[in-house]
Amino acid sequence: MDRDGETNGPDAHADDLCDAELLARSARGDRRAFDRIVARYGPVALRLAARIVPDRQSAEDIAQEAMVRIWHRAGDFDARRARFTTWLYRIVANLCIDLCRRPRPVPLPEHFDTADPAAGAEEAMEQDERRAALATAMADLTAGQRAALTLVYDEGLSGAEAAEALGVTTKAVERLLARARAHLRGRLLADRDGAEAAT
Amino acid sequence: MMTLRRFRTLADSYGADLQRWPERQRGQALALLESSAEARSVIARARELDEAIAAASAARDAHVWAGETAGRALRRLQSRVSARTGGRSGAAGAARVEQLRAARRGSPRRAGWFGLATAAGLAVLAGLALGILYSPSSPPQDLTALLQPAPLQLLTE
Repeated sequence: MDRDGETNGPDAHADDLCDAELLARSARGDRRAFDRIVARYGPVALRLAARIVPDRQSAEDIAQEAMVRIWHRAGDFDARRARFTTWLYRIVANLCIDLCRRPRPVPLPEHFDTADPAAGAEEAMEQDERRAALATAMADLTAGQRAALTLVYDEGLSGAEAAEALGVTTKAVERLLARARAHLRGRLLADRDGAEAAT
Repeated sequence: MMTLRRFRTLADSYGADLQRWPERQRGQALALLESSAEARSVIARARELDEAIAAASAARDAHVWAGETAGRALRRLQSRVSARTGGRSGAAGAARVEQLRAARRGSPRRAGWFGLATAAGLAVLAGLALGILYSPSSPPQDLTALLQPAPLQLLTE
């Protein structure tokens, strides 16, 4: 099958196959088809996980675990019931939320606050402080809020699609988004809102 | 007609980009946006926050992926996933293994071993019961004798 679901025959190259066909072949033990799934959706899994969990290593572990689960459960996927991406989002988001339920300190990388040599020292320091504050504001959200924000804002899912991926109602997604935005407004725009209120 | 309150609620969740809003509500939201200055103000404030969130997401990405490239991360992922799944004959193979396990759980061979073990256990219990019933009235005095199997009176009489 190609991306539109038409049959190309058994010798069609894995690159040209739609997700459902690649999954069906993976379920029959076709390594090449599964490798194509990993190549096609590995970046998505890594990107989504990295937006939800606190560090890169955890994001890579989550993406890896998600792909292994997909390999073992490829036969369970039913293209008539859901898109593959929804299934992938659900697996990754759930793994991330489970991981974030176990709190642990998140060290910043050593070179995180390295000054940009092109800018003046003071200006660079301000930039770094600003970046650190922004990153911390996102890190302070709950995993569910980060997941909802990422799925809707970065991955372009509708509220209903994000709800399906997270296993909650659309209303619940809207509440997660509203709380996340309220928190971020307080953290990111507090100075501006305060100045506006004063005038 | 959408109320300003509903409009504000949706903006608080989905931000300024109406493409993110529920499809059924977009038409009414656009109509309100054209007619209401307050709605336009809500969207302007939401847009400011959208931009701040985009900057925060970029800062977080820079934090998480500092010193790393997407290409290297993907190659690591491919290698690790392959190492964890490559040793098997595939998902179909896994299914076959599970089928074999299921068949073994209910197989006659397994039932045969279980029957033999049960029969052996019952035989031991029966032997012990006979030993107690037909043992000599005076117990042996020394330890060596104690460790010897008790003679069955039924056979020695």
